[in-house]
Amino acid sequence: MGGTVEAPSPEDLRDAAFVYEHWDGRPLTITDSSGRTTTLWRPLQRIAVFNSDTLEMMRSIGIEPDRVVGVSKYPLEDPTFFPEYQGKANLGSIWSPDYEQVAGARPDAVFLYATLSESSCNEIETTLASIDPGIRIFRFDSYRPAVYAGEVRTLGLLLGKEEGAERFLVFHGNVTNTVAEVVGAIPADDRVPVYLESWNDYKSAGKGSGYDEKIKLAGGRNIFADNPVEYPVVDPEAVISRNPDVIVKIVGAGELVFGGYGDDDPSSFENVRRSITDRPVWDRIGAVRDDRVHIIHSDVIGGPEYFIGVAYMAKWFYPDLFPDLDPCAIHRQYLEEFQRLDYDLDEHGTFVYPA
Amino acid sequence: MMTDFGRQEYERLTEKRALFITGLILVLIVLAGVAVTLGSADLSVADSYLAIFAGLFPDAVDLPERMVESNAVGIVWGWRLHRVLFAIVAGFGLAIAGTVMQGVLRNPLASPFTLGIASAASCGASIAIVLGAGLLSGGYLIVGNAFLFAMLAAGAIYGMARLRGMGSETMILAGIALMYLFSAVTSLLQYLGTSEKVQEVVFWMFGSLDKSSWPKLGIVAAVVAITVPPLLWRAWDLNALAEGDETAKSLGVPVERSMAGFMLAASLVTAVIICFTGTIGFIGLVAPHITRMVIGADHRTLLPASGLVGAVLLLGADCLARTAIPGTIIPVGIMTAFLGIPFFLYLFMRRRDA
Repeated sequence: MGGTVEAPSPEDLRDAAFVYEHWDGRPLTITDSSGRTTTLWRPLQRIAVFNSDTLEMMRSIGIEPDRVVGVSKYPLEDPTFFPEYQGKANLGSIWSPDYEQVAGARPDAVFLYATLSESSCNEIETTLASIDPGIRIFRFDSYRPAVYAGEVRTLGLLLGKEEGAERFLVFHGNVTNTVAEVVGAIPADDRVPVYLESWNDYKSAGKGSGYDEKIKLAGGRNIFADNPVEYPVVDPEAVISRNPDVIVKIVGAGELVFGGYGDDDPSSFENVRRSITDRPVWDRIGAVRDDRVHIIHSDVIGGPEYFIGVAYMAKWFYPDLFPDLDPCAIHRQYLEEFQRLDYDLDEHGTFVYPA
Repeated sequence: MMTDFGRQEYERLTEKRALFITGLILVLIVLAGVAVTLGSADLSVADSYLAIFAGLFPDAVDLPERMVESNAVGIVWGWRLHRVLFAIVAGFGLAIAGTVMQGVLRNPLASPFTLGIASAASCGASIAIVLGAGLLSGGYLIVGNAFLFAMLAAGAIYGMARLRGMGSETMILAGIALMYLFSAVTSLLQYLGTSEKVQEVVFWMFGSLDKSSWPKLGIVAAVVAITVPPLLWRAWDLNALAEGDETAKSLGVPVERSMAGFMLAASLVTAVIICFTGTIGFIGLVAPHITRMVIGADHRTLLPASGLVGAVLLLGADCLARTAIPGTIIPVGIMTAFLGIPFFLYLFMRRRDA
């Protein structure tokens, strides 16, 4: 019985407590959105996150900011939305990663996108493995409606935030289920024909694309759903002849970088809207004639806040069917309760026009 | 008297060439020594070297806790060293390939860009990125496509030129035509792709050493090691070819076979490098010109010297690319142009004055 046993360090005790509390005292085996299975014996305490959508999702379920040691350059360029991550190590972007910063931050796990820019993310995985094989890689998208809820649940388990995840899923499910129930009852022939245009003129959404999926979720019928190209550039004549009842234009990227959390001035949105209604012969389109042209910022339709955008669109498509749906209130609750941001949505930000 | 004068001149030139090459090797060694200490990680010069030795002799070096904490050995061995060596090998290979192309085609405009090889590689990479289609799968999808398309372009030019009798102008014209064709395909894919995919294509086309790794360095080094010695060995043929097909034939050089062999080797080297880095074809255009201005057009020394110039240019550009804006790596393809073109124009102007 001689021999000395080294006393466990405070970190060991903390981690052991975590494992007993959250993982039932057993190692956690988890499958991420790329299908990779990883087994963890200790909780993740030093996380590096390339995927800012996943960073936002982590915040939704209540991660402690001090467990994150590095973030990509985008959250760092956005102090309004990510105030607590300013000053973290700058990992660059998935297209131009700064490996020395990643390795220097000594992360125990690096989070990358699962399907977005897959080859760039694969490349980062390979290079990180050669720098430090001990770094675990997890891949989540955090913006795709089809896997969104599953990803929230998996992240909750992984980070020991099961309760936060469940609470957030109730909120998220409330919105998506309300919309789904109502639009599910609308026969296919009665669905509103919608033309969606991204920030590039005439660049729409084709079959199977993310925006096509979101139009469907909101109960619309994408007039270019038959186009095999994911993001086709369409002929203006085709829009006129297919005569959509509603036009949705997305801003916030490409040449139309304005709006969102850091911009309180809706005049740019107004200009974009006018440029659409002023297009030659477009005054013959039902949507223009009936004043149903809506501008929406990509923050609430493209990323983890997609369900807020779906709520907006559902209300635009079927105002009579959703008298009580208040997308702005959903947005406010999301920011206050789940993003824990001190942000006054009534005073700040531009997300939709007309408001 | 005349022969005496010629010999003196020749000896002077030989001396100058030897001096130039020795100087380049020294510059390259110093540059490499500096390059491994540069980076955004907080490692001093001494730390960087200590990390190198710690990687070589893990038992002999006692690393301070602070360096273990900051993962210094991983950063230097897993990231910096192969990148520096990759820059040297890639610069060397691209410059030699460019020199050979210019020599064989007797045209100062010949380069992987003007022969359509670079844009073919971009096109192949774009197809892999935007459509996800290609021969190889997984991590080598983009690389495989880029390589395949580059070799396809080289083969097509060669085939067309062969049909019309191997004229160097035909090859360049065919190359430029192909360049437009492949660029059009790439543009179409960008037009149709999502913004993330377009972003990825654009980053690929900038050309960068970010994707370097030990296995890739191994592949590129092996191809360069296999193809370059025969090129150096046959450098005299390039001199003869430069005098025109007739002269070369009369000197006993099998013109068509040599040209085909040279072009194949140069295309292979270029393709295997740019499929990993993206388009940094510019080195292949400028390095031979810079070298020729300094030491003349004798391919026996021009080839190795322009290889060294290419290595210095690419490594120097990468050092600047990694340090010009702290915390940001500018793609090296952009940096080589910033660095190489003013120098190139300067040499050009100076020569005109003389």
